[in-house]
Amino acid sequence: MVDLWSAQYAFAGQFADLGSAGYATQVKDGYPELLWAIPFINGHQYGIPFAADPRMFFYNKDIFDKAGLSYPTDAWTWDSFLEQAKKITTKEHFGFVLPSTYAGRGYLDYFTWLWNNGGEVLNEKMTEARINSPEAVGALEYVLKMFREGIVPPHGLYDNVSQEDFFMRGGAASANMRGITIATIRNDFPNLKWGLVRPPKGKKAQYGLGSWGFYALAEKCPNKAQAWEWLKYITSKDITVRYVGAVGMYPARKDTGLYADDPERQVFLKNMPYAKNIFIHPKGEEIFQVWWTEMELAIMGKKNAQQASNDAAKAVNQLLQE
Amino acid sequence: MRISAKTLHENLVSYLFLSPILLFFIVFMLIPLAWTIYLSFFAGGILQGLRFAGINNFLTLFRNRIFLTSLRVTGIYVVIIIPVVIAISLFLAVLVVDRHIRGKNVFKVALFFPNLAPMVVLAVLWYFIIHPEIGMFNIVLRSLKISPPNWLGSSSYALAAIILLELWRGVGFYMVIYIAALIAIPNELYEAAIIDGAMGFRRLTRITLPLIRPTLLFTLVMATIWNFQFFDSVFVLTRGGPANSTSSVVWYIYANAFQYDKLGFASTMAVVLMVIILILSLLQFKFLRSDFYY
Repeated sequence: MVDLWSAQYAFAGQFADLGSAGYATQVKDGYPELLWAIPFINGHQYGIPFAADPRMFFYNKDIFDKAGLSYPTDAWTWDSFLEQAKKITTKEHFGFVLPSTYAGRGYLDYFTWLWNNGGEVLNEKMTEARINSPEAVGALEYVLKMFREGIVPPHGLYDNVSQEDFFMRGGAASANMRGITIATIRNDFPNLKWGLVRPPKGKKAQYGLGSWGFYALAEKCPNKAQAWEWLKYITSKDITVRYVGAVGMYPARKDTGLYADDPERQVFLKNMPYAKNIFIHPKGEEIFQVWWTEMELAIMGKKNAQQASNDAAKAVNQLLQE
Repeated sequence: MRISAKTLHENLVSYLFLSPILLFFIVFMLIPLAWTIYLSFFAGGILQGLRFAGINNFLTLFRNRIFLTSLRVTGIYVVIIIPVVIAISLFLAVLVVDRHIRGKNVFKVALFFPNLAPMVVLAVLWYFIIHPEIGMFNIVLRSLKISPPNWLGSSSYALAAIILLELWRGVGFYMVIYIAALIAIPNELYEAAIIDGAMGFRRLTRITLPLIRPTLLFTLVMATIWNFQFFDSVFVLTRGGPANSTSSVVWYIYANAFQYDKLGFASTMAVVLMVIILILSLLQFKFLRSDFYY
């Protein structure tokens, strides 16, 4: 199974093109178009989407009740989010937790803010950096406000995963977390009263982070036909329901009926169309590193948003030209 | 000169006994070293394939901003940690060897204990010790009315956090080596010095330090070799951040080889690092080596 971090394999021709081999059409109709397009990389259908671990905003109902604030709804905006987070932040808890470390891929959460303000790291053809566009700079300025106003923990404390633990222990009133966290909350924090909501509406969009994985076939596989039969089997409805259901992820197939009796997981499923993926580029890891270095310098107050964004764009463009 | 059958036989038996370690050395050290040097002349990686690049990697290396940052970070780290860890270890060893100190075995064990744990475990423990909200370190600083830093979230303090971690781990190891060297010094020399009226500092500088000089040289060379390659703490705690402030050369080699699929470029950096460490080690041997006897 491949995830977004395996872009190098795809671009290095390590995966078989299921489209030209005549395999893909056998199963394509079982998947929503948006998800089917995810493993379509560089003009080739390199895989079948399998499962995802999308994110939504979780909020702690007890903290909201104590602050006398009404729970957030899908209609909340960036302004109302910031206002609410400021009111709810106390010595005991923050209004929100925003992971920001490079270690542990803390930068993943940032994409929600970037996209929803209309920004992107790269242009559509992925040939040029767009991280210093007015929309991207605007997103960074907004995020910097969160740190300056103290509504999020200081930079460097929490990554992608440890932020979830922090939320579950009551450290923050809200957090942007993976769907798989529902199982952890139910098992380990059964007394936590929580709700789900889409990210605050930005100027341009209201995306959440998708995080899809897909199954691919090795190009060097000598028995592609047999391997394809195996791939069809492990992505069949029964296997998908058993595996994906067991780990608490979300299926790509349209027909699983998974979580029909689980209203909270149904919320995740309902919001799948708004779960966007980060870009897939063979130099993706290096691009994240040079880009996030500049974002960290802005968060630490060593550069302003425009300077950091310009320097990030310069570094990314240099990489793209190598 | 003809070699007798007996000598030949003895030599063959010696090589037979040495062969396992020789084989290990060839397979796990010599061949990988030669292969790395070979790869340093190639661009690309395992997935994208390797293409011959000649000396291009070496020419572009010193224009690579992140490599230069990593070199600077590693240099700062080494310049601080080596003298500090040696000084503290030696000081503690002198204290622990003193006949008048009670409970010194407890101190020895406590100081050596971090050396027994894998660095990954120590780094995870250290993360909790220096955590700005719940860390013991910062609680103590707050009680002393000192504003505690955000260790891993600040480019000014993150490297200091790693230096302190490596100190915590390294002190015990070097202390044990110095203890062995100190107890080998004949006591009669100190007794004679006391009779001649030599005070503590004079005995340290005229007897102790000269006689443990070979041990000091050994620890200095080993500390140089090991500390130039610091990686584990960076991998666990910071991944080179924030903003490359803890990006060591070995961390950047790892990132290029295994994350960016640039094995050739990573090999180039590895070769350059090897040359730097080799030159420093040779200089240390040349200028610090001496045999000193009373």
